[in-house]
Amino acid sequence: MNRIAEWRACRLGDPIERLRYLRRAARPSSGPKPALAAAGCLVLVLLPRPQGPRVPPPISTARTGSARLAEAGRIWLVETGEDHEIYSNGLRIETQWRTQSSSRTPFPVLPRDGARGDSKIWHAATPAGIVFHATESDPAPFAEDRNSMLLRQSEGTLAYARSRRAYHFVIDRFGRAFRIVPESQIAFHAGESVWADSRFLFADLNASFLGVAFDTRTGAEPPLTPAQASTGRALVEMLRARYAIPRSDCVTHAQVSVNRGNGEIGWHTDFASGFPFEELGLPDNYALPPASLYLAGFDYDRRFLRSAGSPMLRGIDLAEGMLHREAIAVNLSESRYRGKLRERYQNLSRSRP
Amino acid sequence: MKNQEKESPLGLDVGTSRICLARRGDGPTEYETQLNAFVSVPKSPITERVLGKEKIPHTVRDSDILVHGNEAGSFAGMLGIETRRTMTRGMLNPEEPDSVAVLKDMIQAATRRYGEQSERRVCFTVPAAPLGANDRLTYHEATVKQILTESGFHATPVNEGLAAVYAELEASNYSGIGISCGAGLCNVCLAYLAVPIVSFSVPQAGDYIDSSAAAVTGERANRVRILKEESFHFNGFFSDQLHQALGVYHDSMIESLVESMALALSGAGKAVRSNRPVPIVLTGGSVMPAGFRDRFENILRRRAFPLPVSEVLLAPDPLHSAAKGALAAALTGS
Repeated sequence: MNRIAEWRACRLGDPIERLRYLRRAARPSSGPKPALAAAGCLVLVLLPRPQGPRVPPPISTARTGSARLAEAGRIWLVETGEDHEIYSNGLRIETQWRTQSSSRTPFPVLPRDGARGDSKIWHAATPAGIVFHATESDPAPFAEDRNSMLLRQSEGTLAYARSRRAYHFVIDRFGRAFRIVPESQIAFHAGESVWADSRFLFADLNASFLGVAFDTRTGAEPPLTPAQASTGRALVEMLRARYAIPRSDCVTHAQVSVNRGNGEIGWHTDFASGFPFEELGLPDNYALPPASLYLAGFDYDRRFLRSAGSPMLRGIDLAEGMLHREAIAVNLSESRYRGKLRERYQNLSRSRP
Repeated sequence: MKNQEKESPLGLDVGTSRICLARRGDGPTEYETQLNAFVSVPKSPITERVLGKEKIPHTVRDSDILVHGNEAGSFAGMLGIETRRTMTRGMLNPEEPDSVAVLKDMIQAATRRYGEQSERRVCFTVPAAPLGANDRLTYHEATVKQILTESGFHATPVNEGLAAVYAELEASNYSGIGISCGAGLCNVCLAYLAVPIVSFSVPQAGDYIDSSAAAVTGERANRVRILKEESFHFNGFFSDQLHQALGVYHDSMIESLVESMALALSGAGKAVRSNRPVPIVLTGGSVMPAGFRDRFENILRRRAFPLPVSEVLLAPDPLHSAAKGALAAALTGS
């Protein structure tokens, strides 16, 4: 059995059919001894091909393995208590506000090579990135004499987040990290949203990205308390290590949010500007081109540009350039090329379970 | 019963403590579970009549009646005696003279409704050989197969750890490590694309916890099991000795399991070396105490493990995973 067999298996949506195919493909008569063949396959790293399968592979564990291992080895769970977890990088996660949501089932993704490339849908199952949110609460001044109000506000935010299963984690203003939804489950944090990593285009980031919310308001100065920034850094470090998440896939809600109704980006604008990427050990990801523009055919308006301000303009400018060049390469007008991208995105979006 | 239902294959988990039958009905998979234990009560016409009237599974012998299945536990509690087991450590109990006869009755009672269809396919679970031990499974496997064949089934064994993979690791294309922690054994199977690569079992499992905790506290093992199932959980503080002992022996079981996995998987050399992280799924009755998954992951992450692990999952329905996987094997076998 080889990678092709895996490919073919992945075309089968029904798990029993897929298992039947894999078991048949592994029979000795069809090639080398199953155990040896399978063992041989173990060293293969699954890579997307130009002509991919129709309904594809759970690539859940098929990320860049060596990088993942190297990083995952550095941070580990040290202790689990009744109401907390402690990690080897000093991160403490409070778990008393934890609730249950739906399991993360394999979610559809598209190879990221634009409208020229493969439109076959694949499936993935492990978190591919992090979306940062602002809870947009109206916070009391962060001062010693407001402790009881701050604590009360924190509880209110947590209760809201829990009732809505709104995020995987919330970091309150004292820098306490709270687990709301387990990482293996879906949190309803991103709504209609688009991002792309180096391989795939993702729609519906509720299923594919982890949601980390900071109890703050966009435009607050400073955007995060020092304690929030410090805990956020440790949390990002742990999640990146655990899921081999590249730095470029840690982005804000405003960077990924789209409105399918009017075909424009920026339906949600939390952290459209001012997110302190650097304090969280990340590069300035505002400079990244939004995948919604150059891979999914979305547009933007002046309102969004106003709320985003200069940080995202660089990324938007970059995306415009990429779209322009790609449209020329396929000999289409920009609007027709954008239309093709939208069609591709809609196919992906429709294939959500 | 519809024709299609009558013909559909069955999955049978023949476990040390429970026998579970899985089948596909109109809706979701259905399970029927019986305790794999029995008690002997003195034979009398009244007892025999009451058992018959109440439809309690039993076997009448010369001088006694063997009550088996779920009611065996109640009878044991009533009479203040230990239940007897047809199996120990995942296989037929060599010290129990009635093991084959009672197991046969139990399997036939569980499958009677479905056996009339000639050559209906059934996959039944078998343990893997203990790590480092010779194959002692042939007799057990052949006996169960014969019981099913005599009942009109086309019976095929499936390794219990592999059944866990078939049941729970669909999302990773049936690649990963399936662990089934039952009463007698912890069965482990590393599979890649549904192909078993390494399988083995570890003798420390639920019974080991019960008997060890019973030995240090002076309780009966059966009572320890009941208390364990009712109230034990990880990460809590227990002031009583029994719960403390349960915590210690659960840890000991997990340590031994992780140690054996590290040994077996590194011993397999290049065959299992991969840069692709694999998921681990925990199934079986012994993984059910709250906090088990976290404790397992904690212990796993503390040691150098020869394979990169992507995540540790707890099966949503651990008690039925082996039967579910056996059913998947039956549905997909030739």
